[in-house]
Amino acid sequence: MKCRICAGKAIIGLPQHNMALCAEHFDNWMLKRVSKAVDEFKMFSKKSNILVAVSGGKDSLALWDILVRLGYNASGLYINLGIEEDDYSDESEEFARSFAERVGRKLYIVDIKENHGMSIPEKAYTKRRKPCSACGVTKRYYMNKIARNESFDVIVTGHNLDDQAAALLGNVLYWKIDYLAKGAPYSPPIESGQFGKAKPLVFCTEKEDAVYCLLKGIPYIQKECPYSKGATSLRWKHILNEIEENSPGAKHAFYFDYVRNIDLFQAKEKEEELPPLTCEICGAPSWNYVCSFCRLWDLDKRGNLSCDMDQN
Amino acid sequence: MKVRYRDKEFEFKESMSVNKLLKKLSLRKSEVVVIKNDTIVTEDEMLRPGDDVRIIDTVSGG
Repeated sequence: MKCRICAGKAIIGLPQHNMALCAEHFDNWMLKRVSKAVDEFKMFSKKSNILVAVSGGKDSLALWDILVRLGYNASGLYINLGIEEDDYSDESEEFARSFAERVGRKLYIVDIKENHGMSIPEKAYTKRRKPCSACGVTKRYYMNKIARNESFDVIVTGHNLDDQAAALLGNVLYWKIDYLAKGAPYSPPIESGQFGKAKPLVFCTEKEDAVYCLLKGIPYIQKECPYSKGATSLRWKHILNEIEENSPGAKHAFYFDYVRNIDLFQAKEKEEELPPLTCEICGAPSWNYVCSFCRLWDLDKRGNLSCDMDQN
Repeated sequence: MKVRYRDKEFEFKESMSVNKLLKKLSLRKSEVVVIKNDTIVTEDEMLRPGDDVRIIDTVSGG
């Protein structure tokens, strides 16, 4: 295959765009894809204080690198979940730390075991919950907390087109209207002084993110989270990739045609929306008197762990 | 040629395209990156005896 721009040797075929690109022009193209997402969805500006949620994987590190190269003010946040299998969390943290040093940007690190006395898998076990559910609640809480306390304007995550399309497929299959109302690439701040949430890699695929990291020499954790084996999102991704290989561009059309019509689901959701409360324990916005994070971690009103925490 | 994928190593004696190799291993081209002798290559690239080939998964989930 030849690069569509310079006719040099291509390193990646992009059938959904009916082209292939060489290393140099692919690099340039990735920057443009992120800029397009930021501009089209009005995610943030060069003046914004941006917090990148970093996992040590290809997507979040590619995103952080691209934002830095585009001249954005982007710091990182790594949350160590304490997953010891295969040394997963500590190795991921090392990739995040090394990258932060490489780009000379601040990296906030939250250590769950240090803060709460037990890891996510241990807490999930005591609560008879799935680790992924405890992980989601905890990561959201700390992302919001750091963004609020450190006055960030926006939290950005490395969700890509494959992630968004797979989530959409799962939500459509079971008609999860509340989730369908929230699948946009950008959620603006709920009120003034709050922060938005953005997914600037929404025009890029997982493969493109991996190729970007490999070309730029960005080391990232290649092993999968041990708890992601058999995840339904992986099944949706494989199904969508099969469709995509036979109908290039189908994934993009599936997700972005939904985004264009998202107000249909948002209008429905608004009718059912409850006024947000404030968690009695941590003070964070909540749908209940005690938020899901404080319930999960058995926090008392001083923010300490309750004495009966291990008896659940 | 030597092909490394995950923790496995395969040896192929005949030349073939990346496309054919991926079919032999039941892999989708949209879900992997193929590296031949330290260079990322596209699906039409020919792989020949003596080449060092590495296949990297790109799908992650959870």
